Amino acid sequence: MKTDIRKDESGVSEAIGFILVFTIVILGISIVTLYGYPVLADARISSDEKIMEQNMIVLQNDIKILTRNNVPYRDTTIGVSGGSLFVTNSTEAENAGGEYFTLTYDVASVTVFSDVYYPGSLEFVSDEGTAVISVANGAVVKRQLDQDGSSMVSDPRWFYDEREGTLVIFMTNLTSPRPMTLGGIGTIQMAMLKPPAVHDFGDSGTVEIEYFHDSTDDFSRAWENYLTGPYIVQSGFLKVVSGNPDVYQLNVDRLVIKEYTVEILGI
Amino acid sequence: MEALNDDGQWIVMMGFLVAIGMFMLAVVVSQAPLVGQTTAESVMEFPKNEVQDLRGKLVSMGSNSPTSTLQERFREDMALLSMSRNNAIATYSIDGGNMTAAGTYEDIFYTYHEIDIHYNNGVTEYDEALLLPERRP
Repeated sequence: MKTDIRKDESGVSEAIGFILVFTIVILGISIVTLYGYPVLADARISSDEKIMEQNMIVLQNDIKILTRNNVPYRDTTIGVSGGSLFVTNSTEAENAGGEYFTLTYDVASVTVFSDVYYPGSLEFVSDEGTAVISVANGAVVKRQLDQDGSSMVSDPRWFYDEREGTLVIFMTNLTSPRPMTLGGIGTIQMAMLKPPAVHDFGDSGTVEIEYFHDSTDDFSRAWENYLTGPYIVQSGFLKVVSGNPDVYQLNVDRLVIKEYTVEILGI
Repeated sequence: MEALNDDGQWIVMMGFLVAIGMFMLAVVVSQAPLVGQTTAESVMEFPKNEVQDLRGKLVSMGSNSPTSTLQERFREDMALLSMSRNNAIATYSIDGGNMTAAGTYEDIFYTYHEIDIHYNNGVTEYDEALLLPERRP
């Protein structure tokens, strides 16, 4: 007798079929549990860090608008997820060994200007991840916890005019009435009510920038790459001393330093 | 044995399609670039009015063939003002320096003064060479 194979179901077992499908389902669930969840968690942490990086650039931009565009008040609502945002004001940085800069200007080997700047910072520290992102002195810098090295996410707007040989440096100090932290959604209110102090030196000389890092919060690599790289002047600053402080030098024809004080009113 | 009823397979199919669509969307969203400064802000930041002001002042001054002392003072004032108000370096030269002699270029009716304007605020660097005609007496 000739049988039609397509219609012959004598070898088909529902029990075996059930076992096969059930195994596939269980395998699928275990693979997702073992490999999928950790990947998802990592992706969430890294996307939180990315969002915060973006938020810090927004804050840097706000500070830029306050300092450079003569706007007295500014507030921004940001959501901080996966960590906390801390305000370290300039005085606190000075008392607790925070990072600081020293600027010296020498004309014919005679020091005509020397000053110390404690910029303070707005710093994000990730809870689950390892990222530390900081807005300090007009720049956004980033590092990983428990690791050496750091990078500059967004440059401060220092510039050098080749034609005039003029270097323009903006030093931005953050002040706040009290220590502040933010987790979750909050509004950061900032004001710049004090007019900036301007120092303008017309004689050519040597600018020396010393960067003293905070031993627990070291962004020296980021500043080194920024200053010695082609971002301000094509040839970069010359690094003359390494360690703490790192010392950088540049010969200029005219130096302009503008000192701004931004007050964080509340977050 | 009863044959399988596969009338409802499209439901499973649609489920797959929706899942794939959502995955694609998630990929696109995660590619969103890091932007803190919008294009509109960059456009607003272009110092159009500042450059125009500077140009306007020089056009009215250049034709009067000022003395070099006056030019020098004016240049210093301008440098100070643009630095304190706009954080910018602004400078200019008339006829390639402080020369107040007859213009660099001339024809039968006019002498032309060449005004070079240089403006730099760290973001925008602007250079212009402007020929300003002055009617010959």
